[in-house]
Formats: sequence, structure tokens, C-alpha cells
Amino acid sequence: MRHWTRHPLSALAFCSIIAIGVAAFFSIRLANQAAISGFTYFDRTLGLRPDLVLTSPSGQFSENDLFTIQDLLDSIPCVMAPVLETTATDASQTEDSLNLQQFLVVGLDTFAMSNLIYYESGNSNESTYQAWQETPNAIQIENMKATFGVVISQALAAERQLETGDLLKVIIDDRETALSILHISRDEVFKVSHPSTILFMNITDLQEVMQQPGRTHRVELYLPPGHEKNNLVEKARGVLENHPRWKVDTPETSLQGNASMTRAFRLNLTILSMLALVVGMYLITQGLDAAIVRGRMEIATLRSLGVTPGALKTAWLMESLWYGIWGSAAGLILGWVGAQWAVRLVASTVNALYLQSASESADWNHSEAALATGLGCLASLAAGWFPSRESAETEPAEIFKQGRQGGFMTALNKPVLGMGIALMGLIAANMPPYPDVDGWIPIGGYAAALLWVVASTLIAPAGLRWIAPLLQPMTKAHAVFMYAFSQLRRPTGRHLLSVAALTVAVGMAGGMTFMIHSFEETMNQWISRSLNADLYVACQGFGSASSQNRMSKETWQSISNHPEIERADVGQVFPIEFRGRKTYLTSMPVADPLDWEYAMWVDSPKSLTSSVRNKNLPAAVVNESFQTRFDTKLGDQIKIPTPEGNQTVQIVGVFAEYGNEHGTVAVDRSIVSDWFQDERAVNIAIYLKPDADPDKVRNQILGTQTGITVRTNRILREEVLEIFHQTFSVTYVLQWIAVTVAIVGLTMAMITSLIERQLEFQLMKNLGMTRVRMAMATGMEGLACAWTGFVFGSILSACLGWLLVVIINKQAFGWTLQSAIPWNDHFRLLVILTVVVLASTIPVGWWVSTKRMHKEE
Amino acid sequence: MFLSEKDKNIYRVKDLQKRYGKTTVLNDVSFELATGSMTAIMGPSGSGKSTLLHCLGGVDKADSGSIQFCGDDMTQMPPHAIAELRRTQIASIFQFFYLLPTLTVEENVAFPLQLQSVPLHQRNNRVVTILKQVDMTHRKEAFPNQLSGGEQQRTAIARALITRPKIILADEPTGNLDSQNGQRILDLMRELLSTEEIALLLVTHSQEAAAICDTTWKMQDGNLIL
Repeated sequence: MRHWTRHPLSALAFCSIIAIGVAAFFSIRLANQAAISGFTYFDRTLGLRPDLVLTSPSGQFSENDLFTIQDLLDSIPCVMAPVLETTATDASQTEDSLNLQQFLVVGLDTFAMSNLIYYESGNSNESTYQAWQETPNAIQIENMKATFGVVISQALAAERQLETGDLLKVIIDDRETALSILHISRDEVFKVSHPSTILFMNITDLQEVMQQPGRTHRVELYLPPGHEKNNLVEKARGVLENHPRWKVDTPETSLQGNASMTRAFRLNLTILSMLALVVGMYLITQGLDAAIVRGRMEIATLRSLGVTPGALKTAWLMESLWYGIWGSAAGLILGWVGAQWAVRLVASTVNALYLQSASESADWNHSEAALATGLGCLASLAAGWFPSRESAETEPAEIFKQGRQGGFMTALNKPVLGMGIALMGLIAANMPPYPDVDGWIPIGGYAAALLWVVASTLIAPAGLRWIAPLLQPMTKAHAVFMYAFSQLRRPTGRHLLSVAALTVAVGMAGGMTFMIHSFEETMNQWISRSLNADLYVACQGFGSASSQNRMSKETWQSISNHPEIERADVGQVFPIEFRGRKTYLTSMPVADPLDWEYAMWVDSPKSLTSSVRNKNLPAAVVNESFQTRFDTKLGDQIKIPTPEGNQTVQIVGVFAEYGNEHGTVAVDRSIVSDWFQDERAVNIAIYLKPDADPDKVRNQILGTQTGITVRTNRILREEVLEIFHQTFSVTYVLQWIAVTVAIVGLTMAMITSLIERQLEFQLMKNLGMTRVRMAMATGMEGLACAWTGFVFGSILSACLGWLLVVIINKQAFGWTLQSAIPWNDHFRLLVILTVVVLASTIPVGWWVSTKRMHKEE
Repeated sequence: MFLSEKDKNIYRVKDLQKRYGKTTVLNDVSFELATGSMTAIMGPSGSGKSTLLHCLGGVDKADSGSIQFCGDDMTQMPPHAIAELRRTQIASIFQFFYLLPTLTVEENVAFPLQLQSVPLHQRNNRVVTILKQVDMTHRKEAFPNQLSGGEQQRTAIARALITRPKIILADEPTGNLDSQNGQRILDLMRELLSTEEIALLLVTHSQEAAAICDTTWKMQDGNLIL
């Protein structure tokens, strides 16, 4: 505790370092959780949770399926409630963005629902059921195709100032629809975190709106309450299980499935959020080590007076823990504030890539707070462990003998051991990935990253000594160089650890930048190669991965018939479940995959030998993610689930695509439409006739159609890249936090080191060195350390970047990325590092040089 | 800066006063120090000896009074001119040696010449010569923490002499050495300083150390008794 009163600034600095680390971790964890809890997955129908949920691998049930299920459940008393879901955008939203907030529209069988009231009347909402019986106000509105009833939440009513009987205008698929508010239900009934995003409709109304008569997405089963319930659930499960057309789930497993889709994304963010804490650990270790070096005479005196090593060690560890506790407490407050901002970034990424998430704020979470505090304290204790051990185990006589050198951190200089560990990392990088329920986990890649970070910690400090001989000729030139660079030959533990911390921060942040830059370059190439149409038409809100809006056949046919259009490629997407995992079936606008302009081939259909090709089967091409996830190869025959049963296709090619990590299998559109009896399109790529003006055609299309967006090629490319950068927005922030912590740490280390060396400065002053020269010498010393850390950090970043691009990305997502070194980002970091270090060390050098040598007399 | 014909004294100090808070450390100190002279100042701890030395070396400022070095008033000089003086005319030797820990013996000795931007070959020649004189040639690659106390002080003497200063200000140069090593250092200083005709102002508690000087002054409660 005495250290706190004697060195309040360094104590404050240690606490701040822990606080920043804990804040980064806590805010990301809260933001992640908020994004997940904000999934608009509706699992409780008007307050009741189904006992079983039937889902189809093809994503939809036909009417025949419902009859079959009804027959199978004939002997079991239960309520069978088919559910249809779609998305809707608010018709009043004028923003022409790819990423509009959407409503989830849930179509329920109100007749079936009315039976539920007898099950658990306390949990359900009687007045809501009664509301279904009402007929929507028959209001004639211009341009509105129909008016249907809807039940909304109090939250939405309050948000939009709506009352019963009011109209809510939404766009479902490509049609603007007026919904008459039948009832405003209590928010608790919705049992979701954001009830304002949910709309309830009668399933038949919704089928009519969607022009999908008889279509059902899932079937919910409610068994009657009572002591027989469990038996009945098992009985129902028994008769329904093992049917090829559906899968029996519970609501929990469905929700877990959604959460698992984002697992890799959340894991990556969590790992990144710990980066600041890891770098902070180095700095605290360094600070405590310096304190021990500074107090080594005191320690030796205590030891010689009989204080046990254990007591000394405990005292130092207690001090570390104290920093951890206070730092974590501050970090929790900072983190909670940061989470309110981070949640929007995380949610928008989740929304664009995975599922719709309506989260806009993060709630305090006790268990996450406990985890973050635990990590902060653990990091602090780990940082203090080695210095405290060193203080306790070094014999007093040895301590008395040691001068400026010494301290645990001088032991960091172990390049040979570092090389050995780096080699182990290389071996780990070549290990095969671990198979998981939802894909592959690149365990070897993660292990290699960890080993390389540790190796760099041991190698980089030695770099100071390696660089010193290179600078030797300069030391002969001037006393400023002589003093500055002599520090590298005999670096203190403080120097060594600063370099190690900076190496790790630059390496990890640079590695991520390497990966993002490679990704961006690859994306740019892919965009140039694949997005060549003049105009792209899609339903509003299609930028969200969860958007279910589709264009009707009439709409896309009408657009395609425009006289200025030469060709229109209609795109269809059907979410399906293949081998138990979610993936996508898309349509190719051509019968022969080789004619598909969109595809950038990784394995071209040309490479499939004719003897392997089964001409009786439709040709399918898959993207890399699909190939990796399902371990398929050219020539494989796979079964695609459709409403009419499984259809066998043969994989004839693999193409590059970076839209999602769940995989895509593409089959000729006419075949897909036939399988799903669905002609609706998700988008249209339009190729104009020569000399046609894209903007003019765009305006003409928009003038005749509603509920769609039309983007020119340039705008679409810009928006795709915007979403790309939005995806990595949290990553950028976390990178900069880690690098800032490292730079601040290096600066602090340099400042403390200079202050500790005041006597040397007074001596140089005595020898006639001017203040300017002393300030220059300190600036150069700081720069030498910073640049050494930067050089080794750059090497580490190249290694980690390679690992991320070639091993981890490929194994986890199946994406082939072209390595591209982010020279500009690296140069920018170097400039920032240089400026910050010079701006901090030169003034301190000047200040130290103004201090007087003695005041003892 | 050279001695003028009109002033053959290195230092002409008049009414020098220095206070730390309410304590008067130097009380109207006045004296003259002739070129090539060797003078010892003795006195108890806290009498103001070291403060006087610091003021003379320009690393501390007096509250009032004047210090003329070779005819120029140091108290009126800008910092860079005082730094220039310390680089070329005034050298210091300390009780705790104060070598730069990251430089070798050779580099520590050469450091003042580097500050003067003396060309490399001249610098090397002078380092070789001076190391030979202080018998440290065999330890020239060693770092300070690898040296004994006597070796460190010999290195500090070599560093002080390398610029051929007009005066050396020595603050208890044998205070941290055993008697045998202390005597060796004193003999060495006397031999080298008389050869080079460099003045010495030695602050010490030791009668043996004071004995190498031609004159001994006493200092008591900030007053210099000549």
C-alpha cells in the first residue's frame, strides 16, 4: 500500500491500464450479448412456449405435410399451430439503405391459438384472441392492395403513437400493405427483448399478402398441461421423429442454432477485446518489475532482517491484486458506457451478416461483470507473479551486488527459446482443423497464433541488442547517438518489456489489418469480376441477412420487359438445412454453370472430367464455404432438401463468394423454381442495351414499382464495401485501443526510465552536454525502442496475417483470400508511433536535464 | 575561452551567497584561485563544501555574488556558455564516480571529446594515451558495473583529464575507496595534474587527501576560512 502513497501516478497508471483492458472486454461482451438477445426469433406464441417445434430442411412445409403431421398426431391430444414468418419494412422509411431495420411478421393460426386459452389462461392474453375475431376496418386507401388485421406491442404503439384501429403501412415482399391495428398487446406477452419489432397476423392473411397460399415455415406443438405432459411430449416426439421431411426441435435448440451461427464472429470479437488486457499485462509486469528493481535494496534489507520470501511475494501479489480490483471497478463503468455505443456496431454487423438484431442498448449483466472483474484481477495477478517471485527468490547478497541491471524482465531476452516456440507454432499451424457441430475449428491456427505471440515476446527484446551493433558506427559520430544507442546494448527490463508489449500490440493489430486488407483486396477483385450488371433490383431491406422479402413474378417480369433492358438475371435464395446445418440454395440464371458470369471459379466446371459427370443429374456449383463446411468435392452427388422431398444434384464447380460463411449451393433457376413452386425473386441483375442510361432506366423502374430498391453498379459496389467496413468497425476500434495502450505504455516506460536516470543526466550536464542534446538523446532512445518494437511487431503481424488469411480463414470459413500487405496502415502506425514517442520523450529529457544534481547540503 | 593577461586567476569569487530555505549554505564566500594551483577545502558535513563546488562548476546557481572564471562572470553567462565551459575548461570528479553505466570504459573516457566533436582519430589517440596513464588500457572494454571502485575512479579521472581542462573540481574522490586504493588515486591525481599544469579544487574530509594540495582552506557553516 505504501507504493500507492509514494507513487500515486504510477498506481493510477496501472489501474488505468487494467481499466482500459477490462472496459474493452466488458463492453464487447455486453454488446455481443445484447446483439444475440436482440435476435427477433420469436419462440413464444402470445405468452406460451411450444413444447415441440417442427422445422423442415427445405425451410417450408406444404399443406400435405400438415395433413401427414395431423394424421401422425391423431392419437395425441395437442394443439398444432402452423406458423409463417416474413419480414416487413416500414413504408414510411425513406432511407434508401441496404440495412433497414425490419419488422418480423409472424403469421399464426388464430383458430389453433384460441384453443390454447384453455391450457394456461394465466400466461396467455385472452383479449388478444378475441381481437382475432374482429374484422379489420374496411378502409379504402389509394394504392393499397389490401387491408389486413395486425396485433402490435405496446412498445411499438408508444414508439409510433398508434392506437387500435389505426393503420400501419408496411412493405411485405414488394408490395405496400396497410395493416389495421386490431389490438395492442402487453409487451410481456411477446417475451422477446424488442417487442416493437414484432407484428402478429392471421396466417391466412399473411399467406395472402405473400401470395403463398398454404405455405408454412414451421409447426409448433402445444401439449396439454398436467402430470401426463412429459409422457405426451415424448410420445409426440416418438411418432414425429426420423421423418425425412422435418426435424423435431425444442424452442431452446432453435434459439441456440441462431446463436451458434454468430459464434465465430462473437468469439473473434471476444479474443480481440482481450488484446488490450494482454498488452496491459505486459505493462503492469514491467511497472511492478521496475518497482521491485527500485526497491531491491529495501527487499534485501527486509530479507536480511528475516522476512520470509513467501511474505514478500504475498505483499507484491497483494499490490497487484489491488490494482486489478480498482482497475476492474473503473473498467466496468467504462465498459458499460462503451457497450451502449459498441452494441450498435455489433448489432449492425450481425444484422448484415447473420440474423436481424434489433438491439440498440446493452443491459448490465452481473455474470459478465464478474467475468470481466475476474479477468482483470487475474491479468493483474499474472502480471505481478514473475516480478514478485523474483523479489522473493533472489538472495539478499545477490541483490546487494546487482546494480542497474537485473529484474525479472531482463530474463525476457531468450531468443533461442523464442525461436523454438516459433517453430512449434509453425508445426501447430499445419495441424488439421477440429470438426465441430457447426463447422471446423482451426485449433492449430489459434495455437500457432498464441505460440508466435509468446515467441515474439522472447525474441523482440533481444532485438535491441541486435540492433545496437548496426548503430555502432553512428555512436562514433556524436555523443547524442553514443548515449542514446548505448541504452540498447545494456537495456533495462523496462526497455525490454516495452519493446515486447509494443511488438505484441503491433503484431496482433497488424495481423488483423493484414487480414482485413487482404479480405478487402479480394473483395474488390471479386466485385470487379462478379458485379458487372448495370442495375441491381431488390426488395427493400434486402441488405439484412434475415430479410425474407421477395419480388413477385409479375414484378420482375414487368421490370425485365423494359425496352432498354437487354437481359435480366433473376436471383432466388432459399434457406435450407443440409446435413443438419443451415445453408443457402440459390439459383443460377443459366443452365450451364460455365455461362454464369457471376462465378469467379476456384474449381471450374471445366476441370470435371466427362466420365465423372452424370448427365442425368442437375449440375450444382457450390461456394468455398459450402465446400469446406460440408467437406464436398467435385463430382460429389448431394441431396438438396425441397418441399417435395430431397433432390439429388452433382457438384460440378466451386466458386469464390464472400457473402456469408454458411455456404451456398447454386442450381439452375428453372429447376429450383420448380422444386419450391416459387417464382419469387430476391434480386435481379439487369444488363442494359448499349447506350442506355442506367440512371434514367432506374428512375423509370422506380416510378412504376413500389417496395423495391434499384441501385446502379457504382452505388451497389460502394454499399457492399460500406457494409464490409461496417463489419470490421468494432475490430478497428479494438485494434486502436490495443495499440494506444502499447504506445502509452512505451511512453510511460520511457518517461519513468528517464526520471530514474536523472543522475546520468546531471552527470552529462556536468560534462558539458546541453539540454537540447540531452533531449535529443532521449528522443532517439525512445525512437530506437519504438522502432525495434515496430520492426518485430511487423514481422509478427506478417506471420499472424498469413495465419489468419491462409490457415484460420480457410479452415473456419473456407474463404480463399489473396494476401495483401497493408503498407499504408503500417506506415501510418509508424508515423503515429514516431510522433507520440518523440513528443513525449523529448520534453521529459529536457525536464530531467533541468533538475539539479544535489541538494543534500 | 583563454586566460587574459590582466587576470592570472582561474576563479575570482566575491560575496557568494546561497540559501536552501532558511538555511544559509554559502555565506559571503570570497576567494581567488590561481592557475595550476592545488587547493583543498575541508570541513564537516553540511558546511557547504559541495554546494560551493557545484556553483563553481555551474551546475547550481548562487543567490547572489559573482564567480569570475578566467575573467568572465559565470553568474551572467547563458546556459549554453556554461555548458561550453564544462565541456572544455572545467572537469569534475565525484565520490561515487558517476560513470555512464551503458558505456564502456573507453567510451566513458571518450564521451567529453565527443561532446566537443573532436575528430575520431584524434579522439582515439587521446583516449589511448590517457587510459595508459591511468593504467586502464586492459579494462577499456569493460562496463562500469564490472569494475572495482578504484578502477571506476581511475576511469573518472581519465574522463576528467581527457579534455585538458583548466581546473578539476573533485568532490571527495577517495571517499568511497579503501585507504590503499584511495592513496593510489591521490598519487595518480597529483602526478597527472602537476604534469599537465591543471588546477585542482578538492573537497574532502580526509587529511591524507588534503595533503596532496599546496593550500588547505576550511569551511564552517557556509563560511570559508582561508
